[in-house]
Amino acid sequence: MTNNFEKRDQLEQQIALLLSRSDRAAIDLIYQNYAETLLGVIKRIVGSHEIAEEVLQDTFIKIWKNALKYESGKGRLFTWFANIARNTAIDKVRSAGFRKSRETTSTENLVSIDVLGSEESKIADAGLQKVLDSIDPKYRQLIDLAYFQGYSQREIEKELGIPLGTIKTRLRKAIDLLREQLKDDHLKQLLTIIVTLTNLLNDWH
Amino acid sequence: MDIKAYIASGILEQYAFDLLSPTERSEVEANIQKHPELVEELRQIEYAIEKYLSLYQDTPSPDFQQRLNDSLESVVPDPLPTPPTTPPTGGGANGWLTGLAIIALAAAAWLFFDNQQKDRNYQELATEYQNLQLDCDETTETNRGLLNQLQTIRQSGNSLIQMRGTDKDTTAFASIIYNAETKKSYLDIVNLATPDADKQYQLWAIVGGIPVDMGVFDVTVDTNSTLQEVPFIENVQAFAVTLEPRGGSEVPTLEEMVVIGTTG
Repeated sequence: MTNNFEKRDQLEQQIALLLSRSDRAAIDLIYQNYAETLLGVIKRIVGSHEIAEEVLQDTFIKIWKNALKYESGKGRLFTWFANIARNTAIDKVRSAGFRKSRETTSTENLVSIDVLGSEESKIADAGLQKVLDSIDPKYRQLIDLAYFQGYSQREIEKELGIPLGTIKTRLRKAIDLLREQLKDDHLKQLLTIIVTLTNLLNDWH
Repeated sequence: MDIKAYIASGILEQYAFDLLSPTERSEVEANIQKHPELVEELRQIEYAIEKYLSLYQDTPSPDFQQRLNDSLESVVPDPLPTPPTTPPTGGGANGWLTGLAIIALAAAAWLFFDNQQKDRNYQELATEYQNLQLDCDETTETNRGLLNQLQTIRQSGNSLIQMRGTDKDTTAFASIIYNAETKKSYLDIVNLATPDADKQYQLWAIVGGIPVDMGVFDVTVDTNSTLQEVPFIENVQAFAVTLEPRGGSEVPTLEEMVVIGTTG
């Protein structure tokens, strides 16, 4: 997994360099490596695949327009992309046009729309689905409200009736759990490699 | 700055998830610049988030990339704002203007530092407030429990049977609150020594001269301040507690009797 992340980092450096030179090859690389994840994030927020693609297009336009403004010292490139995608999607959901197109559902119902949307959207990897399942629903709900619904911490406080301090610690706990899972994945990969090697050796004998 | 406390506050997670106000963001950015430990921590958080968000991957329509490329045709990256050129230093006529500018700068600097100090104070107070809130919740909870007990104790029809320590330990003391109207009884452990791990206290009711088992119980910090409901038995002459092997005995070990009290 560390290896994997090293690769991700190399890719990011390459893209960042291209962006800083306003080289359109950056967009192709971003598309190949991140379009699916960014589309997934957006769809989780807006619900419909069609609107999600619209928003993804806007996201790419924003990334390209701001190509010279990314600063690696402030965080990873992926985080930058993801936050542009997320904010564009949330803006879309909150725009008058979007509300009109979903007249039957009041804005208060956004949470439940989203829950339905999440069931429709396919999860890419069964292994990753397990990661998701392993996270306590109360932590997932928090990430969903904060990240995908764009609730402020004060709004979450009202919505869930839990104090601000608890929200902050739970958010941290949620990410901690994800990090734990990453460690496990690392171990599993190592085991797979060892088993494969052992098999190879046995065949050879 | 206490790096561990800063990390533990969860602010880096909020930063990576873009949940902070612009002011808070700049503060975090400044801290990252200053403390390399935070950079590594933030990277780890961001990897975790990337992994999490990739769970939701979805495939764009086949013609999407073409549409995207078309829409990007006319877009060019915005140029970076050019840093403001420094104005030529003022000559004699501009002297008073320079003076004013210095005063304004000094005022701005003072406001900035004052504000930073206030932010720090605010953070400290916020933490303190959270802790007090937790304390308060706990106290409310305890209070509710105590009020419930008070109500139990004040119930009409109650009688109190005090069980005094035997020769084994004369300071041992426990009571039974017995209510023949509501047909409920409660055990109040006032002072019973914590037994060895393989031993447990067992409560007995003496009815017609015969001991009736009322169950075993443990002694913990909590049980010292709470009433425990115990089985209600009619026509009890006396209550007693013996020390028995863990799990209890069928008949009381009389030489291990710790407290006893009669209803009469």
